Amino acid sequence: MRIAILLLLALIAVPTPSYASKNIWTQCGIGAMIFRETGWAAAISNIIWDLGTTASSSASSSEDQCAGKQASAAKFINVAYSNIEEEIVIGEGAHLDAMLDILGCDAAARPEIISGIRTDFSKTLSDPSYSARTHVQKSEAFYNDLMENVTVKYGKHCS
Amino acid sequence: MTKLPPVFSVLLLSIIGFPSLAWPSEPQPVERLIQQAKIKNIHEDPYWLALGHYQRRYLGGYKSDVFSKDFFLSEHGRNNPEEELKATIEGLFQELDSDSGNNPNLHAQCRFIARFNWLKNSLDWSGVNLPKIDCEGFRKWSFDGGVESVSLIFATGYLGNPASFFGHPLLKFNLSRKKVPSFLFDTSVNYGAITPPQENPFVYAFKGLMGGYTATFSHRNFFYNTHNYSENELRDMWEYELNLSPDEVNQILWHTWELLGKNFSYYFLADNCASRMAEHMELVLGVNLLPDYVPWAIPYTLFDSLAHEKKKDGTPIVKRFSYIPSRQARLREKYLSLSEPEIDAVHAIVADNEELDQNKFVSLSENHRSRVIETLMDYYEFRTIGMTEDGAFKKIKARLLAERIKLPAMKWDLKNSAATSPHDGQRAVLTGVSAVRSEKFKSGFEFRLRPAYYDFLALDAGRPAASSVGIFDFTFAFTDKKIRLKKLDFISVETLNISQTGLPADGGYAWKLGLGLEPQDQACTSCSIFKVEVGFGKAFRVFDDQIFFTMLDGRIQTSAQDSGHLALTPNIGTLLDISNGWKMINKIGYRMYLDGTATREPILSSENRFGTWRDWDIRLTYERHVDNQAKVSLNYYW
Repeated sequence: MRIAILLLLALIAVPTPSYASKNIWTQCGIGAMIFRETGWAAAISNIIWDLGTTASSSASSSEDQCAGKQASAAKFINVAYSNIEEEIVIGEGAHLDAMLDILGCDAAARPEIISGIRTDFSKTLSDPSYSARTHVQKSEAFYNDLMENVTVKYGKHCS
Repeated sequence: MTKLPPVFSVLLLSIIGFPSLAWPSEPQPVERLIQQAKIKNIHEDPYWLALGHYQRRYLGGYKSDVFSKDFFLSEHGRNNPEEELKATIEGLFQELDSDSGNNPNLHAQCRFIARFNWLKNSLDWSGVNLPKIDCEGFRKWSFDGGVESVSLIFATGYLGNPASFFGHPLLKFNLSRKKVPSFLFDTSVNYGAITPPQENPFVYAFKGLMGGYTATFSHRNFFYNTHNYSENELRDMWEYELNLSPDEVNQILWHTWELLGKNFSYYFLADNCASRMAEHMELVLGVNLLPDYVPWAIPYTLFDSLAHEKKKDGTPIVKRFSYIPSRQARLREKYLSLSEPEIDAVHAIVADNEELDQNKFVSLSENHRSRVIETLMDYYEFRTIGMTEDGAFKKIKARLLAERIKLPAMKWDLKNSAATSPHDGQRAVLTGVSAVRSEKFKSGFEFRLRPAYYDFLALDAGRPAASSVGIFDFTFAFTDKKIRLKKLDFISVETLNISQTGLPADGGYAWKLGLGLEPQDQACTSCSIFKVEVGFGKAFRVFDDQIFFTMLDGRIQTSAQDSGHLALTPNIGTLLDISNGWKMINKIGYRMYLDGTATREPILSSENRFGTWRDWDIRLTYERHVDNQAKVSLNYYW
């Protein structure tokens, strides 16, 4: 019983990691941001998905909880996931660099970090269910793995 | 104490008690500035009018293109630049108070930064103390002075959507790489109409032409644009980084801030993305980027001017061009860089159930296998476009990823793309004169005016390959001492949708759509018919630059001389790039009317373009449609 109480207390006391995707993905509507359909109106209206952040509101968006570094990384990963997964397996690329830039990872440590990401991603790809996952599931899971690595394994290299 | 005489006492009292009667008062700073502005008449200054987007009205006065109330500080600001200027000066002096929620971002100094800075340079502010306002919103948005340069991005035309045929411009603020290392996180600014997601195409066309949509400026990280254009719509993008001084960069930045979220009316032909971006750049460039005498605006013309015009100080407008290839262009670049054994492996995998255990693949070295896989990753990602999440290509893509990650990390140094910049192509407006010889009419002349855009024989530069887009294409014939409108294509679009890799779905069906007036055949006059024609077919690349195509065209037309209303025209043709300066398109068709009395008519045509000049070309054309006709044309592009 005492152990159970201690475990419960430990669970309560251990804070949810600040990068936890649950809030970011749901509160910032990241899952809904991917857009692949092009309709009649796309050409002159690719503004539709911009309206929420236009400057009429941006003046007061500084405290926006979806505007932080981790939220930016989450949005980027969700939109550019296809590019990122390709660049991870290749080992380099503009999107991979941009992602590590957002997370403030040192240039000198990049080879080590990318190598670590490749190793982890290799395990992800070996899971037979990988191809059956949706885009959002893949990008959210990748974000969580990445943030775990960045905060735990590469914390000293990424600010 | 000496007693003052009564008259002095009265005077003293009047000076103390009524100072304003004694000496004229010093005007308050705000009044002094308003007075200065009035004397200098600066409300009529072109820069002030440009900041307010004021247009002179035909019956006198002004009206701003912006109709958002919060773009104006004066109640009459939309129609009165002078009132707006006065209200702006007054606004700059206001203290933060509870009316504005003590929000500095709502203060005039922060909302109208371009106006404020221009007024600072246009009036004498000595001895003036303004309230100090910290524009936190703007500082954060502009990365605290982190914007280093400005680019305009040209997203090339997209034939999957009529409104995209002509391309689209975007503004991009290039941030200091110390603050934001990746260009993908630069700030892009888009001007576009706000339309319902599932708009009816006819309503869309009507409202787009008639100004029925509201348009606004909005901003995003640039990666949203690369995703939308390069990955989803497979449109190449070209970046034109402008040669601007830090002050000019700031002027663009400040005015963009003023415009974000403000509403305009969108007119598809004239007040559109191209004209609005041109107007925005003209603020600092001091040159017209779109000709005043042309009542339409297309993005291509804007970029052509950027590349070829000079700033008012005589320096080039653009300091750097760069290319952002689409997913499909990257696939083609990779495919065309492969060796024969690698190409064989690509086709073997695609043809044989997408399995990776093909001999042709496994026998390759690691380096070659990685190139094959990377090409196929682009190919299958390209094929997922428009598919649902459970699309069949996800599995093969996952297998390719798993296979590639087993190989060492390595960079494939692709040769630089052969893509040609849009501004190296011919300009959009064609005017031509032709000497014509025909069996029936003997000699004559033709005059042609096509406001936009390009055809199969145009120089290949920044436009979808093997395609043709024309609007309001007029041809006048002068024969027998009479001039007549021979042909008018309201719109004419045709693409051969050619594959460059030979892989399934790279390319698709060739198609065409045409709507306009033309003679029933070449032998008649006063026989103009109105037609709507559509066609479908398939094109094949026979050799590197030689294309063979076959199409079936169907048309509905008004009847001339009881010709009939419905016709089918099977035809075959070739598009041949014979040499750098000689390109040819040939067609042989057979028109069959399904009603009426017109006989079946063979139709032949051959058109040749000579020259690689941007401004003009020479064409030789032969056409047979009842009458035989040959012509030599000189076309000028502007």
